[in-house]
Amino acid sequence: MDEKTLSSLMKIPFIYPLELIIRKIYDKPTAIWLKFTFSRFRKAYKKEKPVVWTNAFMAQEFLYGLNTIPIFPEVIAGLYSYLGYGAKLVKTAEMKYSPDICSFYKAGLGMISKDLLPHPDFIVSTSHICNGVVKFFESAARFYNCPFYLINIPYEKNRENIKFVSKRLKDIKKALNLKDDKLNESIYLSNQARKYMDMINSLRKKSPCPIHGNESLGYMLAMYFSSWGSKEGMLFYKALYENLRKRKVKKEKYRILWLHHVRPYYENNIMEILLNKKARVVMDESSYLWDELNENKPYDSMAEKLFSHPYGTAEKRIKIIKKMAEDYNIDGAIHFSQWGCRQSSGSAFFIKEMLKKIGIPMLIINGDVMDERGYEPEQIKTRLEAFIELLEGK
Amino acid sequence: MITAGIDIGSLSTKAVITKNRKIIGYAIRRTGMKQEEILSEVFQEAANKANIDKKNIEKIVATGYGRFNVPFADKIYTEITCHAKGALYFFPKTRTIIDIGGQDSKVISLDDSGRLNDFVMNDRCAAGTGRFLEVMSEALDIKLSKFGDYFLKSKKNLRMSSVCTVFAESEVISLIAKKERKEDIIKALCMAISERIIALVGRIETRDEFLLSGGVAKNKGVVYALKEHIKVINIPHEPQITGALGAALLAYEI
Repeated sequence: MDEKTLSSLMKIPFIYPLELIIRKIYDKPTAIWLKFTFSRFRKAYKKEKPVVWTNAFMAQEFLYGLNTIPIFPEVIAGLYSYLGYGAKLVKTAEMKYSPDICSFYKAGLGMISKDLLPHPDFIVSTSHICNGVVKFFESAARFYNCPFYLINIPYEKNRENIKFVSKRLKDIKKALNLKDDKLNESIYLSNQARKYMDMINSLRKKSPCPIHGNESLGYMLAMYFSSWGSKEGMLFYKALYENLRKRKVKKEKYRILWLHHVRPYYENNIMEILLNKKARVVMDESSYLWDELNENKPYDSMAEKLFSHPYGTAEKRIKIIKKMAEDYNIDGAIHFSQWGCRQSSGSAFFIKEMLKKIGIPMLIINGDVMDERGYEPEQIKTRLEAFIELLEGK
Repeated sequence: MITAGIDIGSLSTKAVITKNRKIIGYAIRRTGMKQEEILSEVFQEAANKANIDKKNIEKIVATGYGRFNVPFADKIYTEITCHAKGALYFFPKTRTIIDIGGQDSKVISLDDSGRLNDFVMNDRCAAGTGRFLEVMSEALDIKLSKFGDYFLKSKKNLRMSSVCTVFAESEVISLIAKKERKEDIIKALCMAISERIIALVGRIETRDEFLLSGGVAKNKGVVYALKEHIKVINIPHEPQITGALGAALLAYEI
């Protein structure tokens, strides 16, 4: 099946009758994720509401609050790569754009070029987590001839900067001429989902940890990047918590912290190799949670949320990772350095140094998460296994 | 107790047999396409040299890229762990191992107790590996074993500008056309590979004593070039068997 056919399939409501079957094959959280992804696609194609393209690190509550349908090209790129189309999309982009760009954006440009996504009415993006995302959305806005609103997030979190971002959100709302009467609801739903995510993170602190990287960096990550403020988001985290709470797994021997939120999305056996060696990815940098949003100050608290994640300065990243390593009782860390991703790879050595000081070894793997041509199975296997042998000897 | 270690690398397959933790025989063969055949031949050759019957081998450990293709292995370890173990046999004070193999190079650092502390491997590039030297040996029509002699006879410091093996080969050919001496070209090549290795060393914390292992350790030209950066480097009498030896020693711990 080629990617154009797949894209067309996403437009039809086949998922609904299949949902019952899916629930039998997959567990409830997976079914919710699948339904959420495909139904939004369908609604976006039908233009049931204004379609807005946005980035993974946006305060999604804002867009759900404005009663729009947010589409997340970065997340969809991951999905296409998972389905085996990564290299194809990247190759398309490389015909016009520099091959050194991060492949998330190459895949995004490939999707635009092949017209695989519902067209945006407008685009809203924060400056997270890199220059690439800004340039990508600028290109998309030119291509689709629609407005692009950039929310520049300052490095430092302080009152003045939070007000700056808060005002920007309000200005965008005004410029779009949309009502935010769904905002209270989206904040409420986000907080509810957050409660469950918090409980999931508490379960992950325990040993055995009920979840491994194949899930936490899989559909869970996809929901993390797209569902805060939606009803399905709340249902997903609730279902996942209920699922994990009852799950019985073998105790892990090594507790791994995964650094940088990405890992290869195409077919690979990284998580399998780790689990075979009794190593479990118990926590990852992207599962970081912000403070609960304040329903009485929605714009200020959404703005504050945008300062909360680990990405930004190396200092901030190091501080957050150190706390994670301690809270989750980590034995070793793995940093996946995505080719062309300077903002994450740049701080890798500093993170390694910091972790070394607290007695935690770190492995850096280089690769490409989107483009399967960049995967070297034997080399990666040797590095992962050698790292586990290193932990064994400690 | 008698144990065996098998190291199936990209270019060569090695087998080492030990008795009570001492080497009693070993063999090295080019891996080639017929992995299974070579494996049994190497194993038999090592057993012959050790003057033992294979039946008497109690435990076998396999390592290298082909480690999963040794059906009779009792356990598998990566070459990182095996090289560390093997290095300590040859030079017990080793705390940094530089292994330059056929298709990859790695730097391994050990802690005070000789345990694995950190490691780094070259990424998607042949320039710091044995493959680079093989390509150049062919381009110059000079055997690798002669690189040391040529290095010492160099009178001019040429510099290779290419970082890529393929481009470097073109560069060598153009240097030959410009009538540069082979001695000077070989020295430049050895310095080039040495620089890539030193860059790899710089990526992790390393300290004395250094040990050089892998097939490229037999190339005296490269050794001379490395010694311009690291004054003292220990080299085992047979550096290629370090991995297989480590595997054989690890077999005692099964």
